[in-house]
Amino acid sequence: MTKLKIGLIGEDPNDTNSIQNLLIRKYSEKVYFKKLIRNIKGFYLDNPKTLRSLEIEFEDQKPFFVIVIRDLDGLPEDSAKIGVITNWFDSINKKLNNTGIFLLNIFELEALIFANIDVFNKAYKTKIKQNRNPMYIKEPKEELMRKSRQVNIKKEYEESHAPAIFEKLDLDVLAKNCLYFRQFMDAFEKQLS
Amino acid sequence: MKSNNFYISSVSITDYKSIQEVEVELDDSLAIIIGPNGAGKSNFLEVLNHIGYNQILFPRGLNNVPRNLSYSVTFKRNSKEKVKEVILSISPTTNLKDKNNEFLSFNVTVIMKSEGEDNKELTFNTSNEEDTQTKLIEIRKEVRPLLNNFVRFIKYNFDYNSVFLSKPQSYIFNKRNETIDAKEKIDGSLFLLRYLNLRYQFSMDDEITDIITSEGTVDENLIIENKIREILLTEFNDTINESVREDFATYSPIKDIRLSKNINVNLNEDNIIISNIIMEFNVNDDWVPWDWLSDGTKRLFYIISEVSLTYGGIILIEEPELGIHPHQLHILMDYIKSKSTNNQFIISTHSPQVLNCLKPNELEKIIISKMSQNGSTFRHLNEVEIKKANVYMKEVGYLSQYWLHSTLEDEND
Repeated sequence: MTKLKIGLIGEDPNDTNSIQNLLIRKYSEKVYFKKLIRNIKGFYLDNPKTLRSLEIEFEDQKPFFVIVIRDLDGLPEDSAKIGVITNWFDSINKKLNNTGIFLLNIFELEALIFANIDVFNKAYKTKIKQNRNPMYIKEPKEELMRKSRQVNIKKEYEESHAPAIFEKLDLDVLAKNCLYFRQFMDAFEKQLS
Repeated sequence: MKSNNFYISSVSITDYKSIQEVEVELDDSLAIIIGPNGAGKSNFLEVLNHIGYNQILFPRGLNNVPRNLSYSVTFKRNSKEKVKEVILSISPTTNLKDKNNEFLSFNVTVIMKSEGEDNKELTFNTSNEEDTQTKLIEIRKEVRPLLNNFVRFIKYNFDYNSVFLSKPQSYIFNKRNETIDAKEKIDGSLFLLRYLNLRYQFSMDDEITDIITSEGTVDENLIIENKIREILLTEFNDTINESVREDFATYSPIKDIRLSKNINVNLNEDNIIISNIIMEFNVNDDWVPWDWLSDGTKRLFYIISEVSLTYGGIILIEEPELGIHPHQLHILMDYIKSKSTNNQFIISTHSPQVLNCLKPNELEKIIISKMSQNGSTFRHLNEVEIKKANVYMKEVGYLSQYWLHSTLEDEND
């Protein structure tokens, strides 16, 4: 069976690598991932040069569909921020021939780690409470850094550790515990079917 | 910087090579110095390195001071500790332009500022030997512990062919005296210091001590040889610890480091000789010796190992982009930024790409150096330039384009 090429765009290589690592375990027989733009930071994602590069890459690489990952840097109540970022996705989706599916991280990618916190607790020997709603954690990355630093100052969580953690997160547990991620997975499955 | 350690918040320098008189404020996590060749960037880093190892805090004597140099440096920290700020000022008091004048004397002032207490100030001139000794004892007791673990200077011209890295090492132990055959200067590299310390760690292992002092028989030799190899490999893994390995694996093509297993052990009546001790590096799924690594990979190794082994310090890096692939440079800058939560980085660069790691709210981290009639100058972006940089980042493309295609290094109007 020919594997489908799925494009990836994110704020940071750690984000795209993390989502790739998370999905590839379950879907490796059906899909493979290709980053459409490399080495771009979130604050460059809406400038004209990046958008034009994206158009060129989309046309050249012809992915089946594209996963667009972005951090909200806010909580679900922040409707103004959600409005701005949804508009941004709509504009980028036009460049992608409307094949984009959006993974909006509430606050930031690390919130998803809280949806399956056992994995982090085991890796960093922390005792972060389970069953917290990942969509209501303000500055989750900061909390992970702080808690890991308290256990071992020399093994503090860093953004670059995320891909290794996401390799071990349970996709089904994340979908169960995080509404936004569940919506993303529904869209992902629908595109594949 | 989040740690309890001090960072340099400002420095004023007079009379060092191209620097006649400058005053620079520095961000607590990252400063990126740009400017044409000969603008004085390296001279500035040299002075900061000198400050880190200055003669007042570290008892190397006063003769290491570059002639004429005077400076005043303010160290601050963002922590709940009592002492918040230390100011160290040193200036020469003799006519040092006369190179025959071997006697150097300096005015020294150290001020410690603590919350809820009066400032503590120590002032002396080094020509008064008795007063100097008394004050130095006090300074080294009170100030030096605060500024420990201080400056790492990662220069562009590291000795990549150090015998410790490229040639097999030997350890020789005899029952009366230990001898060491490695005598090379290791140029302040933390990694090499650790590697050199492996010999000591190894010799301190209880089982090795027993082996060295025991009278082994020929039949036992094979078991002992294998034991020695096993202990040496274990000690190496402890010396080059997990977090250093993780940093290499995440941010460089070097996925792991190990000692070659082909260690030779010779036991005779008088000596234990362990030879062919050499590191191997896992690159592209192959274990290769140091000499096989590309110059770019060697430089990455140097930068990452020094940064990884420094915690809560000040790290100076001269042109991190040298020999580094653009994708790898992006990863390296990510690494430096991630480590800047616990260290202060001061970097000089000629690479526009390095600027692209900065967010719109981080433009104060850029310092522009330039050579003028009054020597080297250093300045931050002004309001107009910050506004223009934001336009470049949002509407044109990247910050690097502002540097490459516009007026970023021009004089202020």
